[in-house]
Amino acid sequence: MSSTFTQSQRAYIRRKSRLKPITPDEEGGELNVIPFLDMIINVMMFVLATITTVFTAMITIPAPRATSGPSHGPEDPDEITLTVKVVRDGYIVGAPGGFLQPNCTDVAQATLTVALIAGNHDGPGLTRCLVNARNNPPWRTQLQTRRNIQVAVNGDVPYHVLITTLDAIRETRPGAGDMFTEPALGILQ
Amino acid sequence: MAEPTPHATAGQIQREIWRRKNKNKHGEEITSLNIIAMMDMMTIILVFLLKTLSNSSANIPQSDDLRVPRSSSRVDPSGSLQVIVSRVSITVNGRAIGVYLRDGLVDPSQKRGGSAGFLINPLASEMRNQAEVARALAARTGQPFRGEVAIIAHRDIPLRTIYESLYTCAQNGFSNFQLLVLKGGGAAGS
Repeated sequence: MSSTFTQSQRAYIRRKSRLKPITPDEEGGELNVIPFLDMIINVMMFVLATITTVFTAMITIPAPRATSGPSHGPEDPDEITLTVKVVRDGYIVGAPGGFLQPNCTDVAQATLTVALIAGNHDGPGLTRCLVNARNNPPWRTQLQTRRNIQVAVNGDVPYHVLITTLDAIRETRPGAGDMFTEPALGILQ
Repeated sequence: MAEPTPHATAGQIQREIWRRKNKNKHGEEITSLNIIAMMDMMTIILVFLLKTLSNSSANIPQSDDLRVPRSSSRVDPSGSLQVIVSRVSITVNGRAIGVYLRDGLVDPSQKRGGSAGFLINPLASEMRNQAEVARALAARTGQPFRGEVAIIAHRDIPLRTIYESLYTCAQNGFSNFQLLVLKGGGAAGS
């Protein structure tokens, strides 16, 4: 037989089964970390947005010589050496017996081998010219495996032209490294 | 005559109280999330990010005074002493050394030999100090002193200034040069 609760018992049960609300002093027992987390997220987003992480690379070069023109000539008189002179109007490529002409095959008096294109130094043009020079039958044997080249730059040429030049003489396509990877720098005074 | 219903005992009352409390608990909504673990993770990530990016050699602050040219080179830079040649000054590892540029050129009064000279005196002094420190560190750690220096220069700086910087560094023990560039240029650069 089931038992029933009296009215006073029901009132007692109702009172005791009610969940106690958390008083303000009890709320402080656990840290409220939401504002801190909000600050962390804001700071992290700000840091990511403001720090410009760029992908950098490097080009290693030897110490340049503070003399006019390129460095010393080849020790072996029969050694074929190419010289790239960077001037304001373009590139002059020196070769055995003279200077490369604009067709990059003939050698004659000094002339602009690779002229500016749209006012800028023509890096791809210089690359093509050097490829032609390397494939020139009299020089092919030596130049195909040659890695060093002389680079002489005019002092008032901007820095980015040097980078363009180094890129152009180093490889035929990005990352190939199949041309002259050991430039020797000099400055034209 | 019906028997009277017995009143509930104390135990039954307690059971009823317990039952009602549990019923209320199950019906509760979740009012707060425990996000301490997430906060811990975010803090660690933030500290790690700040530390890594501030020390990374890949972190080159770009501005109007320092726009590094692009290159097709794919060689990753190694951590080394940084000489920054911006449009207005030359700094070593971010520290000013008193060399200020005008139109991209060093004041002749700061060069040995005047306008025709290549050695920049304040830079030479700083590089000498850096070489001493680097050599002492190399001696203590047993590592060889490699004399590496990374040149970070604005794209429009005249090459004369770059050469002067390179020459000055080379005269003071730093002759392994790395020109730091941005990846992504074609053969024509930019």
